[in-house]
Amino acid sequence: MSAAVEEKPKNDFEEVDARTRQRLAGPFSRLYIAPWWLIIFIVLWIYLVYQISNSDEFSRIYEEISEGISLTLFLSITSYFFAIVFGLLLGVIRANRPKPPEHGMRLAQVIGRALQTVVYHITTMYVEFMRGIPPLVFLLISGFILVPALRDNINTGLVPWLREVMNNPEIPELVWRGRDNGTAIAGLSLIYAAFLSEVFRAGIQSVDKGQIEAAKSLGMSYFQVLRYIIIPQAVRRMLPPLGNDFISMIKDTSLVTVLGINEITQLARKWSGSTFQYVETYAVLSMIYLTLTITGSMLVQLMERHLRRNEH
Amino acid sequence: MRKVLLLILVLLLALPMAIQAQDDLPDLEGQVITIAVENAYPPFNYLDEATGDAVGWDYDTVAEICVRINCTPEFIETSWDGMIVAVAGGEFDVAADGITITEERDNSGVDFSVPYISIVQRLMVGLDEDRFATVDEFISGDYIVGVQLATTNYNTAVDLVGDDRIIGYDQFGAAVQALIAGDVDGVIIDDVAGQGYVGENDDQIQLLDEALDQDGGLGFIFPEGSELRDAFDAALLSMMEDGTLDAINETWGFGPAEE
Repeated sequence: MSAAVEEKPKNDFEEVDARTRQRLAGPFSRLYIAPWWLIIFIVLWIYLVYQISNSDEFSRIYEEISEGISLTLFLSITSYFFAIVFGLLLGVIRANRPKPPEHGMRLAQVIGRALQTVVYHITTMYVEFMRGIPPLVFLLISGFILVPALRDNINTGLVPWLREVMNNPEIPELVWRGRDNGTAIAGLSLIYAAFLSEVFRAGIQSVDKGQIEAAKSLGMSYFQVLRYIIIPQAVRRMLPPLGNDFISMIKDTSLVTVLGINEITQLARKWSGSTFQYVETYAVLSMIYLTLTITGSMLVQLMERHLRRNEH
Repeated sequence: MRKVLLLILVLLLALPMAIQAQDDLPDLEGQVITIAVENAYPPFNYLDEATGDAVGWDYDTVAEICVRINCTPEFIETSWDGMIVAVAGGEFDVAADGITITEERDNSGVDFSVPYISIVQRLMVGLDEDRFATVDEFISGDYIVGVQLATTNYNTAVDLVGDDRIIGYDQFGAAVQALIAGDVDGVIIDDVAGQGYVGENDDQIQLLDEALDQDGGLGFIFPEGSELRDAFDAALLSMMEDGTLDAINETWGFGPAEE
């Protein structure tokens, strides 16, 4: 969950220089730069796949756990989507530090700045709060306290009130349980929105102030500046960290096992607990996670390389 | 020939004395033994609400066992999920957590003590539950069971309602909390532990009287081949004989062991 934004890429000259140096480095220089970790991982992966397809025990375990892969991916993608939307909002708010009112401002402008200050500090409090609580703890709070309390309050307060006001006794009660996928998605996206907002904030703030001032002096509104000046530049710098956070999200879905949701970690825990095949089960589970995350991080690297090439 | 017969006779007479001698409990000479507990499974081991200290049946019983066989107990907190495997791997000398004796567990690299109590499993439901009154009604509806992973109660739940209607939690505390919050409709639990939770929340939950399944009894577990087991068994048997175990059971609300 890095909030760091990519440094400026190397220029052409440095790249050529690196290639020349490599040519001069000797006949076996490739051996030193080959991605050995990936080669070893692929060999291990092939071995495990071979095991799974040839051993009854392993294929039984894989059969059991793989049922949860779609749920793991669904939770990751949905939570990440909501985290992006909410995080972008938080990030934009946080990118504009509040300023005191100046002499000669109209009353509306003074009130505007005061409001901005309030919103900024509430947002900052939220972000610091969420970044300071371990995700596991927040999920426990969501599943066992927040969701039941929210649901009960709505069903005993809001729903009867709505029924009376709208004169419609058919309005259904809210069915939302701590163990529902919705709790996991809400919890994970609230946590990740805070982390992603820092990526957005850093991305926006990385755009040169002079450009923004120039655009404003041309008469652009803040949203025009955002749309034509900030976003095109910031997106390039934000995509790699955003991609890495998606990979973190895949891993962190394992935490929702405390809510009793049947994603792959929960299925693995059930299976190992009933069969005592701990070694085999967790080997298969790790392999599934690694396949998802390493594929993901390779995609992020490709994207990074692509962005770097198109930067000039 | 007569000499041989005489010898056999003497040996036969001496046999009861030998058995008597075995009745003397072993002496471990103050050896420190590590005991795995969860501290989340009342009344066996949990944190006392008033003091925050770890208390429970396990603490009292093992302390008494250690007085009898001269050992020094050292309780170590661990999660239930990996407890049996950790004992099988020799990470602990004993695990005490109200562990139901089953064949699978016995075959997974641990040895059980003699059963110290036989228990039944029950269904825990909300105090004002009016959708069902019996276990059969519960099973035939589409009600959801909350239960702790890797327990015999989990297996019972699978047998009764099938995998799709089970929510598996880390700890029984979480399952009971979900029941109180209305997120699950029932919790399957050993009656002893169930009474522990009901005792703390008797304005919200209750146990149905009907027994679900007869368990084999609860025991301590030891790494396979552990010599400690015989010492523990001897101490437990002597405690059953002189009524000490009944007294401890009563302290923690078990009532006398059902036969």
